[in-house]
Amino acid sequence: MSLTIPTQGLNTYYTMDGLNTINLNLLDPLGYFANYAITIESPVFETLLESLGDEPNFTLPDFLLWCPTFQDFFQDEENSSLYNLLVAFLNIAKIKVKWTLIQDEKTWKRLVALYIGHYMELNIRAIKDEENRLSLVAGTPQAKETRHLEYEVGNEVFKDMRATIYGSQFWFEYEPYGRFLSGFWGTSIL
Amino acid sequence: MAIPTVDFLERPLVDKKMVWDFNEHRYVALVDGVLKDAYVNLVIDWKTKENAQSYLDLVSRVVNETILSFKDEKYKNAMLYYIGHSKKMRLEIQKVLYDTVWYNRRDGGFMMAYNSGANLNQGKMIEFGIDKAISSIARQIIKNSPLGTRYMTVDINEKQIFASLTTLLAYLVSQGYITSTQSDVVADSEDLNDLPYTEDYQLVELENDRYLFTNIKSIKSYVEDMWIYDNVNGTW
Repeated sequence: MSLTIPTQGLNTYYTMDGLNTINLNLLDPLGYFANYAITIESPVFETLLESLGDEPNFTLPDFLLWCPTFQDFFQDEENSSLYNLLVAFLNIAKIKVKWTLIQDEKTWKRLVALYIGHYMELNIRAIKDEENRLSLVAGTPQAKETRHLEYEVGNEVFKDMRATIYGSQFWFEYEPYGRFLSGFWGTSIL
Repeated sequence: MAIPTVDFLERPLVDKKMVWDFNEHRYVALVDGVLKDAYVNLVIDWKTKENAQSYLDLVSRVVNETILSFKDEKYKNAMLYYIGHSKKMRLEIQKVLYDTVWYNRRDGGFMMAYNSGANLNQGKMIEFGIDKAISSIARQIIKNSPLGTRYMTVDINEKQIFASLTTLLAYLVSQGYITSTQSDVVADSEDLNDLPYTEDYQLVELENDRYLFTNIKSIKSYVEDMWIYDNVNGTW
């Protein structure tokens, strides 16, 4: 059965699906020349989106459950200096880790938490700026050996995620799901 | 305010133990407080109370600069504001100041940090550096508190959570960020993207239709609002 059959609502579809089919039937003297609409009265199931519903609420305790090392940073909730960053990452995580794909609340919350944890760790490293890279005050000059540029074609996303402990956990769990999002092992979605 | 209310001080607290230096933005221990809480009679060491107080002023400067050495210059203003407006930080500073007074009476002392010497045999300079300015205990006190963090965990910016779009818009209008006409547009569309472009605040939507407002120019307004000594009238 073609996937492009015309449908109406959730439970009605047509037997003929285009002008070509109608014209062919006109040429066939013994043909039916009829376009049937078949309606299934029962059982009619709800669609996947209806059964899934909206994505669950993701709150600060959900994040701290899977990333407890950040607990101290969020003691003052919205007054914490990284709270705005957390919300910004959460908004992106909801786009990247699709609820419609994961479909399981506990797994989805864990993946979102680990995704945020990964980028939060990278950002804290940048904020700390211990090497004074982003400072106007003269700091310790960087040794030449640390300037290292490398090009690699292939699984770059995995390499990025491996940079933190939360990222590697995230990718281990998310990789099988990521395959379903695109034909490129999820690399185009991250 | 973003410093939690239980911890917040409207102005740096001045009492019989410590005063606030409004020029250099740091706490200075008082001779009587040191005698009462650190059990050291500095008047005996320094002959007069004025001498002892001047000495404590120098101690305060050394401690303050040592604390700031844990941070990058770009976080300095926020840190000074936090020290001046947090009860917890006041207590930590007091502990470090008293510890430094003890330390100075022993072999170390912040004067050690000023010492340097040349070893002519080897042709080398010997410097003690900032490590010797405060004791190892004081350093640990600093590291155990937000004083020793590189970036502060408390956001100094003013923040406020609104339970609905209506209350948020009313606040923005009352503060003069937007006009009531602009507010009506957003109220109809229920889309924050319809707010006029601004560089004054951050607005994020939270779960359950709540909104977090952050004034990202708080530090600037604090500096403008700061007590400045009036030379003409002799007042702050």
